[in-house]
Amino acid sequence: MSGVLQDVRYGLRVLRRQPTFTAVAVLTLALGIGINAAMFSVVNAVLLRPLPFDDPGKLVAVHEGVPSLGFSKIPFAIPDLMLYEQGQKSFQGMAAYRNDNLELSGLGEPTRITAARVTASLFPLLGVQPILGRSFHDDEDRPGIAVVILGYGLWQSKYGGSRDVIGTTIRLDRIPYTVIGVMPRDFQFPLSGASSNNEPAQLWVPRAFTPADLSGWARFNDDVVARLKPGVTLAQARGEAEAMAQRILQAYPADLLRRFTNTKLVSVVDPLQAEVSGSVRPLLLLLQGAVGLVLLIACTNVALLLLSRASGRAREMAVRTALGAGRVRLLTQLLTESFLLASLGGALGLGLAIWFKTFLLKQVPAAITLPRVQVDAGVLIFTFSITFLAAIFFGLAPALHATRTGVREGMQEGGRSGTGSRTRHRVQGAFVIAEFGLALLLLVGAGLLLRTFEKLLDANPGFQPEKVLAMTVPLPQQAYPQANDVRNYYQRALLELSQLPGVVSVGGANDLPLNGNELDAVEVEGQNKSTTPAVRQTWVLGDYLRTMGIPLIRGRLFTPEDREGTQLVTVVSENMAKILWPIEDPIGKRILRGGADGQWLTVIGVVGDVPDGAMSSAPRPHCYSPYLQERDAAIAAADTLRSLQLAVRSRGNPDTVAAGVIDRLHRLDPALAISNVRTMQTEVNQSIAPQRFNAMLVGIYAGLALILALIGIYGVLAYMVMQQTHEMGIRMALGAQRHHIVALVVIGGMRLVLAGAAIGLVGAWGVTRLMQSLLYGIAPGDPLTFIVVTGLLSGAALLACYVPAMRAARIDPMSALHYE
Amino acid sequence: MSDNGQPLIQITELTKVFYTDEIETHALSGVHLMVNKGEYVAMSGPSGCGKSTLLSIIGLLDTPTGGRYMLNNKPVENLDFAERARIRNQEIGFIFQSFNLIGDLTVYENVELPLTYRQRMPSAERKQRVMEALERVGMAHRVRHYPSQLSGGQQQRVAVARALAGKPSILLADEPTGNLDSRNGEAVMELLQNLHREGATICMVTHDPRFAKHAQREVHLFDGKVVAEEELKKLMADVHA
Ligand SMILES: Nc1ncnc2c1ncn2[C@@H]1O[C@H](COP(=O)(O)OP(=O)(O)O)[C@@H](O)[C@H]1O
Ligand SMILES: [Mg+2]
Repeated sequence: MSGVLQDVRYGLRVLRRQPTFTAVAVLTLALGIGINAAMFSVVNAVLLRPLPFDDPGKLVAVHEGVPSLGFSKIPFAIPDLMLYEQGQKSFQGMAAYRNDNLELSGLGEPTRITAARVTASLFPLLGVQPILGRSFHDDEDRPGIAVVILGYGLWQSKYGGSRDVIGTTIRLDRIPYTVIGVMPRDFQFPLSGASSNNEPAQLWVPRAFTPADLSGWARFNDDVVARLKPGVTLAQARGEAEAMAQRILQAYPADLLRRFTNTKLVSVVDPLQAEVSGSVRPLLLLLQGAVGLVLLIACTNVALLLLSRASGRAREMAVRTALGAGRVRLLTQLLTESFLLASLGGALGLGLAIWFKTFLLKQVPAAITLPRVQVDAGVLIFTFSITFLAAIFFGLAPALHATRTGVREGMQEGGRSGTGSRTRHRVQGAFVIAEFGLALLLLVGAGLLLRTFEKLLDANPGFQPEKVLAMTVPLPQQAYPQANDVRNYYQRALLELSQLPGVVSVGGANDLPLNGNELDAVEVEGQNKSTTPAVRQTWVLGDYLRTMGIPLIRGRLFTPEDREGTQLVTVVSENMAKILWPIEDPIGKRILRGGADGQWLTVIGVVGDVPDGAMSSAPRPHCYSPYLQERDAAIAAADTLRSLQLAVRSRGNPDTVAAGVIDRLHRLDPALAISNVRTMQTEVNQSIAPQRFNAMLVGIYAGLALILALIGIYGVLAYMVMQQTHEMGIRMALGAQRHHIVALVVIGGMRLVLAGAAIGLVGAWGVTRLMQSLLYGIAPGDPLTFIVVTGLLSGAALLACYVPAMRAARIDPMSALHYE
Repeated sequence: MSDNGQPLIQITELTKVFYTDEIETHALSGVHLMVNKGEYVAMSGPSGCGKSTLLSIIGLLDTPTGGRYMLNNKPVENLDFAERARIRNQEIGFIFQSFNLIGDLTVYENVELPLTYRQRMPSAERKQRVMEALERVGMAHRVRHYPSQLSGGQQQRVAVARALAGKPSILLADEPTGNLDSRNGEAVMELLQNLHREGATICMVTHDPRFAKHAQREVHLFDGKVVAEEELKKLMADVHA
């Protein structure tokens, strides 16, 4: 024990005596450890930390799915859920919920808030209690009962955290609700990251199934969580889910069942944790992998530093051996120094991590909501572990090398041009090769992500986002009970807006490009029904298609005559036309939309494809219909049809018409909570924000890796040149020109660099395959990226080699020969 | 060897001053030296008298502070680095006291080294030159060895081969036996003598009078100047007195 203490004390003295070496090593390690700890704090929060619920390992997400139509996982339809609940034996309980967007009024400016409608079973199932008041009673989970539980944030912002809030009323969509509880600060539900209904709510109201919900066959809208009974495994629950899907399908009404003749309905049970982190998992693992490589390179650099130092300490080691220290004893002492270095690096790295974590979170695109990311015990343990591993990684090889020199050789200090230097150079060479291999791997990854981002920037979105302003204009049920009220408002609004100066055209739709929300099954007249894919359905009003700049390819666009009472018409996207009518003219063909109570629509036009999800995703087949031909019941009931997106194409900068637009809309209804006023260009930018984020982060990591690798090769060469001053003198005496010396050093360095690059290329060829899902418009093995990146790396390395080479060339042969 | 007897080195009024930490060291102060082609000259004198400095200037490793130096009838005291490197490579063969072989290169590669610094020599010719030189010193059987695997005497013979490989106008040897035991030392001296007999011009620094006798001519240096033998003895006596 006292031996260890002695080693520590001696180690500290050694480090203090070489402040430059210590500073460089500690900073390098701090950088590597810091970004790893920061990245890990995110990975930990998203992928590893258990969900903040009671016994979260037993919570599962249950979905339905119709794989043959391209729906691997969709929310539940309520009748299906009822059947499932009755039949199942695996779960202690099931709870349903869906996101909703409500107008909150009566507390200052009316605002739109994100809400969730949840069954009364949800809070007990999660095992979370309100901090104030109570959760829903079962008998409150009925239509017509207006109670609400507030989220902590809303409670703080609207009530200043007052405890008197319980029992007061707030107006949601202009209906008074009684506040019965407030949830804890950290409570987040629904969970972001889930595949649907994934917006954390600011308040919760009872789900309260209506008769329409209970008979809403094939209306897949509600997500479901359930808790496994003690002793029931996930596999058992999955087995049961299969049986439940069978049973549900058998209960389908005849006309609906008709559409499932060749398709299968499935039920999917996944751990809740996997469900909510599944979408960001590949990205986070990629990023963690990237910073892991940076740390490896950082460690390699420190190992190189230690190796260079080892020769200087050969005499010290020899003296210690002569005094009777065993090899293990010497190793312990050198490793103690490594641990000291690593600990200093780790401590500094933790500080860096906190700063970098904040930076990281600021860069996360709005589309990705993360749970609370903090430096907690898990992160500390991780940091401690990588620090420990780093110390062994960078300390062991140099220590083994340093303690291998024999007593006599060491005492002679250098002696003849011995074999010791040759093996050390080999070890150093191997480290440099490894560094450049890893750096190239990262650079290729960054290059591919950068090209992806560039391709997305250049990609034609299929519409013309420039000069288009869009906003959400929701009409509350209370104030606009009838379908006609809704239709009238929107028609008047469009008329008003079209008269604004600077406005070219206006239109409305229930969803916008990049944000499709309704999917429908369609059948084509005279075709096999099971082969048609699910299609996007958008209801459009006014001059929507022209306003968005979606090009007409065949036939005609809608006119004001395409309204209630005339022939039901539709405009389809180009890819839909190609899929459904590969050789025939689609104009005049008929499709059946909506199944059971479906309607036959006649195709009147074909328009260009527009992405309905991320810019990087392939557009789904898309079908547009006149809003004015949708049935009253649907408009009055469906949230999305009374919450249209209005779009305005302006002559100039769309932001300049925004104030006028909102003013006109408010003139028609001053209480309207118009939300989400943005330009379509912003939408496009936001759509590619994740790729920007990926490219930027991996780019930063790759840049760091490259800089570290350059420092590595520079350090090694500078050190070798210093070691070989005498040799350079000999060569010059024999008539070497300066360029011979430069070439000698540069070729020596570049041999290592290129060997590393070759290995890195092979590695990248394999690893980038795993990035496929993060790329767009570019293959993982894109030759241009590989070539450019290799060129960049080699060019930078050449410069790094050139500096020590020039120093070698400037050696004075006379003094070099004297120097021994 | 028809031009034997022609002047190869003509040095007049050569001075060399080293400036270190504001101390001036006059290593050479007005040296006159003529060496003809085919001559074997030994330079001797007490330690610190300037032998190595003079040899370095002759070998164009260093530049004089003042005076004239004609090599092959061309002034060489004011050449740039590249020119001097070229002349070192083609006209001069160095043999050092500490052999100065490069540890990471084999015997063959060490001998080949000066040839690699020449403009395009066909590889067959290069190989022939290397092998000739190694055979000349009796080391052809060790081409694949590394210097650390050879004895001191063998290393010095390789160093001589390296100096010969470039077929220089003159061999410059600075105490070539200094690091060798007497048996190995004599072997190397014999080698130099044989080379001289075959026509090589040699300039050797030694303070061993036995070896100096091998040379045709002895040049004595004292305190940076060339002195006659009798004068040297007198001066030495003064110093000891
Ligand atoms: N590079 C140098 N810098 C300063 N002084 C030097 C240098 N080289 C040699 N000297 C000095 O010049 C003098 C002659 O040295 P040197 O030619 O090596 O002597 P020798 O070889 O005859 O023993 C000595 O006083 C030595 O200290
Ligand atoms: Mg000397």
